[in-house]
Amino acid sequence: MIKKVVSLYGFVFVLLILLNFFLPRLMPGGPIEYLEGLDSGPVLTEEQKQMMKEYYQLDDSLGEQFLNYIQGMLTFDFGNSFIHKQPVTELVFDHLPYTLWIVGISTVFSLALGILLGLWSGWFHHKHGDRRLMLTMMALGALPEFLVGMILLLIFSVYLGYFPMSGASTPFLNTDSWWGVMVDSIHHATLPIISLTIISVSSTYLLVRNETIQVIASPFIEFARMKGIKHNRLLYRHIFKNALLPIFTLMMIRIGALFTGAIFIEALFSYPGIGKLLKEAVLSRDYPLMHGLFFVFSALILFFNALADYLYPKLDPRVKGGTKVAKDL
Amino acid sequence: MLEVRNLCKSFGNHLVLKDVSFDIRNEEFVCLLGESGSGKSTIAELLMGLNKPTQGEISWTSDKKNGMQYIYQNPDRSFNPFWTMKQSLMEPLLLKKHPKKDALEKITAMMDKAGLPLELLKKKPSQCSGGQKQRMGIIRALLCNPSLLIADEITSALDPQTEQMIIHFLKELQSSYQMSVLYITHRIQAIEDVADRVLILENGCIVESGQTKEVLQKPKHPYTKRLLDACLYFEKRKKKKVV
Amino acid sequence: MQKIYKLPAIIIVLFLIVAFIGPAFVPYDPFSYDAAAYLEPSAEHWLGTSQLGQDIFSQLIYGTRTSLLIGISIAACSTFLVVVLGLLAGYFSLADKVINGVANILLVLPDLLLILLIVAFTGGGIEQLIIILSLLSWPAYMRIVRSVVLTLKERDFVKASQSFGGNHFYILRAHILPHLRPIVKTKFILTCKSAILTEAGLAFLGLGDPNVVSWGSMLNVAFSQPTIFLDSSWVWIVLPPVILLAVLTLSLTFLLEEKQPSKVRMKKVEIHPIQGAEKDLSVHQVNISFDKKAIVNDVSFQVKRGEIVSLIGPSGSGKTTMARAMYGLLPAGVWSGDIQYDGHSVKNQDFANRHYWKTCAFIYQDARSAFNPLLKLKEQFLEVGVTMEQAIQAVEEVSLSKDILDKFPHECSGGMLSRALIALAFINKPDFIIADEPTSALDPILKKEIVQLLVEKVRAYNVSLLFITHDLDVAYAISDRVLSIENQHVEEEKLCHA
Repeated sequence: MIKKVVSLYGFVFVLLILLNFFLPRLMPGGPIEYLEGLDSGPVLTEEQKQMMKEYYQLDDSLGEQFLNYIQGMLTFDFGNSFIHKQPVTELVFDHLPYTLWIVGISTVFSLALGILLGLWSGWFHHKHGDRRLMLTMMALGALPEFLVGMILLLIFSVYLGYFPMSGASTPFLNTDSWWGVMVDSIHHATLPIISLTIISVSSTYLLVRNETIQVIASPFIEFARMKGIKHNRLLYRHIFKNALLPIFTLMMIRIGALFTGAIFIEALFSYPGIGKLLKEAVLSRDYPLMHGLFFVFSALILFFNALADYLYPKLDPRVKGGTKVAKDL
Repeated sequence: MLEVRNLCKSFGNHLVLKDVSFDIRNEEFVCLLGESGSGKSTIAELLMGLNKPTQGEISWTSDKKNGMQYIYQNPDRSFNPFWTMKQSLMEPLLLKKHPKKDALEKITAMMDKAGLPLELLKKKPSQCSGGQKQRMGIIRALLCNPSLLIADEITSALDPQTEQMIIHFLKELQSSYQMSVLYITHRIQAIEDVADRVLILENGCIVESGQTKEVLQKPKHPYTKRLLDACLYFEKRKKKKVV
Repeated sequence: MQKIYKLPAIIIVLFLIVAFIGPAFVPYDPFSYDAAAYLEPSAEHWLGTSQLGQDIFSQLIYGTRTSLLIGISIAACSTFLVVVLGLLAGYFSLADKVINGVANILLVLPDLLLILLIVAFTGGGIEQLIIILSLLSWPAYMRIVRSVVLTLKERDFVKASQSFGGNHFYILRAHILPHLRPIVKTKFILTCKSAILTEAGLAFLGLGDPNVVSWGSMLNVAFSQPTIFLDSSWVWIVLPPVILLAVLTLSLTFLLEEKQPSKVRMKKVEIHPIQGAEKDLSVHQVNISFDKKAIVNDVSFQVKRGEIVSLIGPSGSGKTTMARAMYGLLPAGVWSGDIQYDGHSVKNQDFANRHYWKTCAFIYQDARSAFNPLLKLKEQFLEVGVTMEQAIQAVEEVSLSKDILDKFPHECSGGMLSRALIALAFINKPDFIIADEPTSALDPILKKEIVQLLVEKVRAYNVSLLFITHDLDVAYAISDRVLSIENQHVEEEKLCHA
């Protein structure tokens, strides 16, 4: 099992790395001339062109370029950023904590909220509250990250003025206490975290609700009811346990998705995480920075997805140890 | 007509059939009796050519192989749910390039024989009862004029009254179409008066075979005895109804 | 209330009309910079102008066309790929290896990163986006189509058609394709939605095609100038594209949603004692009907202490419904009459709490599905309120080893579970047991053993058993009385002991 997961995700990771190497070099005329020739691309300055030429070392043979590329990656040396004039690794480590903080908190919130509401909704299936909640959640889940963020921003920052519009901290904050700094950073992170939570909560909710309804409808729950088991035990031992099994897979996949969602949310709120960094790198064609961020993002997303694939079978006693379900009668 | 010699079949390490040999003669009604997991359906699949045997051979004494048809266990699944019964019944004939009019006439005649009302042809499978569908399944199989009909547990989803009706319908057709029938079941009670010969299958081995009356009245193998005892246990203890 | 479910369809039709003919009636070229910047809404510029002096209303109309064009073309390409590749992968095992392999890789690929990478190197024209998204968005639904085809391929009607000489193309077209219609519909709408949102998102980040106007690029321009939030100009610059995008997305999401049938409200019930039935299980004038279709009509009978009564009837005659009613499992709205155990009505609110597994117990149709697959048998025995010693004694009485209590249901054979179910039913020594077709899935030898065991225990504990079955032989063999259910009525058949 572990072999299968590692080989699939490893293969995809290698594929992405190769794509990152070959895509710019395979463009007709090379990366610089190709971009120049496009009527839809950005306008490049002379300085940028010069830096690109240096970065890509297009005069070397393809083999040498590739060796350098791999070597850089193995030593986590992605070169210097064009616009920030700083080593990429340093930049990434400066900005990574911001993203981890908002993604981490919203993962916890959205899971807790999604599981609780989903169980509640499934348990009260066919009551009016369930239907209303489900339609609301479907609506929330349908909206894209940036739109949810934008609506929150318009209401709470622009119209009501409760939260700051952008950034992670107030410039020239007039306080020395750690307490004041913390309140300020929470104040700035609130809207991004709420946006990410809202986007993520609906898929957790819908899955938990669906599972709960299915479990409640299954014969063994009906039989457990027939046994006269107390309400609470039925809910906790029988329904929760069975309904929550698929959540683990979802949880990991949600974390992966939250990292991509963070790109939009950070761009919208100008929140200085690696998502915003990636957007700026792509926009200004800061290739070294792009390369480094791309590496970090793919590694994070693929890691969580692989973990999900690997863990799920271990959690179900029916699959554990490879024993098949006995089908004889 | 059909000779099966030393047939073995294994799936992975699991040996499902062990050295199975039997014949089916022309115009014979043979019953294959066994519990679930004994390998009944595997034999049917091998005869139909859906699977290759691991060992042994199946030989046909004449080129009758094309004249074989299979009736499925669950009548709910043997018809396309989007089609009317007429479309489903016409399918084998239209695929063999029969003219539409002839095909319809043939089907109408068969429906009459089976005592099924013609309105059923306009209905979808979900609107017909299980017994009706199973009879139409038999009709569809017979439209191809098979010389061997394999009926695999075709009545296990039906209640005993309908089961009797279906079996007698099949027996009647067997003599008028001069074909052989391999009837696969786990219920001895149902086939007592119709089967010519019976084969008893236990864990992939044929433990006993012979004329139906002989096997049922004087079983030799201990498994046959146990199976017969279990099948007839309740029948023997039945209390009489007072009318 | 019904009409609200048609609203999404109406909105989408409106969007389509605007997208197709709207641009012909638009007053300004969306790219012209002729007007002054930040003009407020007026008769000339209905929604004012942006910071570049472009007419917002005109841009919105052109943006609608862009969004729908992208959504529909990607959805069409992707759905086409889903159907063709799904059919091939499901039907031909050789093609499956290749297609499913590619799908597995694409499913794992982080879509957005890949798109960002490609856009960064290629400039991000609209045609590129259509091609990339079409190629990336087929695997998930292809897998669904594939698994549907895989099951359909094993279905009897497809096998029958193959045996009649239907070729592959005929079978795929005539038998399999019609089953895919609902999947295709869902896939088309969902892909349409996600394609529109991806384009809007990329354009919002500034990575859209600069040659077309889209809602996303309008938002990108607006947000690049944070000063618009200082006065009220954001109301006409930011709000309209946000609202249109939200309305279109929501309409697409709820397009497939249908009205749920409303549930019958619980009614207060009055309970009257049934005369002369204080010590029995009595069924009194019961009518059951689902959706106005009568299942049983005016049924009354009694089961006395220590009696075995069988309820027989052909399949579909309502035996199982009757069993569920007798255990108080049917909602009050679908049945009338009363059922009482020793004078306690199942209609009582606390009947379940006070009498389940104490006064009465139930033997489920299929032993395997009756046990929770994630809990050990021990736990499923102890939860009815018995001690470990009692549980061990109970399983040993049905000739099982006590080790079975430490196993999960999937580690036991069907015969073991059937026995365990009987042990569980008798564990609290109830007065009444209802057994709903406990033998219908069993082979003859096992059936004999299980029925013998059941009868033996009923006699030993002097329990009343209502045995529901379609197996007439068993019913006539073990019962003291046989009730036959037919045409919605229950008749008692007189038996004499042979």
